[in-house]
Amino acid sequence: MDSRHLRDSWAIVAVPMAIAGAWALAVPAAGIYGLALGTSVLAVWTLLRSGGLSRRLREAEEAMRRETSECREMERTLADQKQRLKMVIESEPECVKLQAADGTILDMNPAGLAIIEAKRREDIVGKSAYGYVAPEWRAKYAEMTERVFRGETATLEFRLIARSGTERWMKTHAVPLRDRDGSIWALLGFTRNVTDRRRAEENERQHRSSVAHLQRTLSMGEMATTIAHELNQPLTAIVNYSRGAIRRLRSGQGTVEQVIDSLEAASSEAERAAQIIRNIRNFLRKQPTRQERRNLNKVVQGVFAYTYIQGELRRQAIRSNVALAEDLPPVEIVPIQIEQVILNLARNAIDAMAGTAGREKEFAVVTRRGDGNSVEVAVSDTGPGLPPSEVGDVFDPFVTTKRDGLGMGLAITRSIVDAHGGRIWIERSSDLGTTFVFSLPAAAG
Amino acid sequence: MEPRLSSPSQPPQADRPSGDPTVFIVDDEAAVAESLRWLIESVGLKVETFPTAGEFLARYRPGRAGCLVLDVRMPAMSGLELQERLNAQGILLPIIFITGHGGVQTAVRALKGGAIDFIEKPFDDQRMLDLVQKAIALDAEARRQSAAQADAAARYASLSSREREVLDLLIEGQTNKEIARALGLSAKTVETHRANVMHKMAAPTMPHLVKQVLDLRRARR
Repeated sequence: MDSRHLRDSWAIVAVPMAIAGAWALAVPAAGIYGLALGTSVLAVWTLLRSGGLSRRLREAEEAMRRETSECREMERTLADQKQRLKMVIESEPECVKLQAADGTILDMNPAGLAIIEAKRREDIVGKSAYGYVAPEWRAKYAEMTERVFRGETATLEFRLIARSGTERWMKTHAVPLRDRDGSIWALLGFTRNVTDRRRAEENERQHRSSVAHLQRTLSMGEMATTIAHELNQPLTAIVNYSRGAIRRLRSGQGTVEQVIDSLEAASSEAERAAQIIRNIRNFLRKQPTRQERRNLNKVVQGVFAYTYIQGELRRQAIRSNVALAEDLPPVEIVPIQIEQVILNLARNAIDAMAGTAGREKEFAVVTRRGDGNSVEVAVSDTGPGLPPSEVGDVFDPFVTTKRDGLGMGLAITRSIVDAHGGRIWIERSSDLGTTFVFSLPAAAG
Repeated sequence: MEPRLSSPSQPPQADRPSGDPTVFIVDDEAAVAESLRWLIESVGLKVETFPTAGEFLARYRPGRAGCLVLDVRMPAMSGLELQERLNAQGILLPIIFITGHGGVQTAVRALKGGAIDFIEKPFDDQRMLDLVQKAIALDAEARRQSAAQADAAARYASLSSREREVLDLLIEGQTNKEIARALGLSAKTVETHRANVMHKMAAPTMPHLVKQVLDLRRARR
């Protein structure tokens, strides 16, 4: 800018001189006089301009001084900002790293070092990030790096293997870092440890799958098929062995040894049948049995969040009404089992309304304080009610009102409630609907 | 129908029922298979057991007489699949299906596939034995018929082309004279051919011959 000032000043001097020269050439008759006039004009011009020139020079000098100090100020600010940024990055709880296109780690903050379990920056810088990415995630990680070096931002959740071999779930957000020319020289990655979240999700999934598992267990058709098929094999063998033995004894053919062998085979098949029944019992009991203190309202809400229930209510256009008492004392329960009880009663209620046409379908769940120090859950439907002859024994095994039911659902439901020290009963059953209630003792203390 | 009919040059005895009828039991449950063997052997029948459908397919020779007691539900190849395979191969061994749990659809499919019966485990011993006897009798009858047809086919195959021409016209009810005119032969030559046809076809009378040939034609359709 200053040099431009000076150039302007020279132009100011040069232009009148050129005019004067031209004048002299154009009017030679004017001769010396003309030249003298031109020179004097130039002199006056120069004199006039020289004051302006020095002023401009002063201004330029001033501007320079100002800019220099601004520069220094800016440098200081930059240094401050750099320091602050360094502090932020250093104290950032997430891993912040710079990485080259080939995966080489260019820099990493202490949080990152801690995640990888490196003591010093030097242990990591210059190493390949791929050394810490679980093998099955390396391709995805490379893909992410590639995207960033193409100028995109990318996110990836992957499994990291720390130096000790510990595995962690990480979620990284990566952005391209450009130099002054705009070319990408590094990947800037912010990576968070999401192990806890993943673990919670995994637990949730397992929890759901075991609920689904139990649901399947209680699915009447499945249960019937399994039991029938499993028990039929040894029963068939027993019948065949004993009938074959009787025939031989009657007709006098076959040796005593042969008949004894067949009866032994029959007995061992009977043992096998008994074992199958034991297995079924264990199967039904194999669910977790650790008791936890819970609010039944939460459990009820949890069950109603299931897509299955929501889907069925929607599909069958059933109005649902969930009324949860606010002052419920907590209960000590095996959550999955009580969920199952509620789920089973809900399924029964929904199933009961499947065949009722021409009147409003309503499904209600109420939680309330019961007699003594107990908590009750009532599940109602507007189905056709239970046949009076069966109200007394619906909780017995193999009693069912469902066409293809085996009658195990309520039997299992009752055994779960019993095991929790609770009770289950039918509060109301008429042609207007049925209400099942179970109560659980409130937790002590 | 029977594969043997498509190759009339084969000696007629080759696929005749060989030996005593055998009850073939295919069930992946060894206890069921072995206890059934014990039961069925009590009436003096021969029994062979197979743990899988595949093993039965590999070991069974189509000429062997008897019946098949087949479990519906088995790993790998189910009983119904085995039935389909046997049908596709033209093996018409009568099948009694046994199942741990009745399913109407399965039963319908089995019976449509030609099964003798479809019974649920555990079953009444007398019912099973009656079914086995019935199946063996049906198999024997089917084999007798197809053997007769195979014989007829083999006999027919042994005729010369001139003899077949004569036979075809005989079946139509033409007289020797008419045949001689139609084929441009002498009545005496037709007489000789006719005698040869009756002999080769082992037909004592004309109606016998007609029946044999008509049966043969029906079987070939």
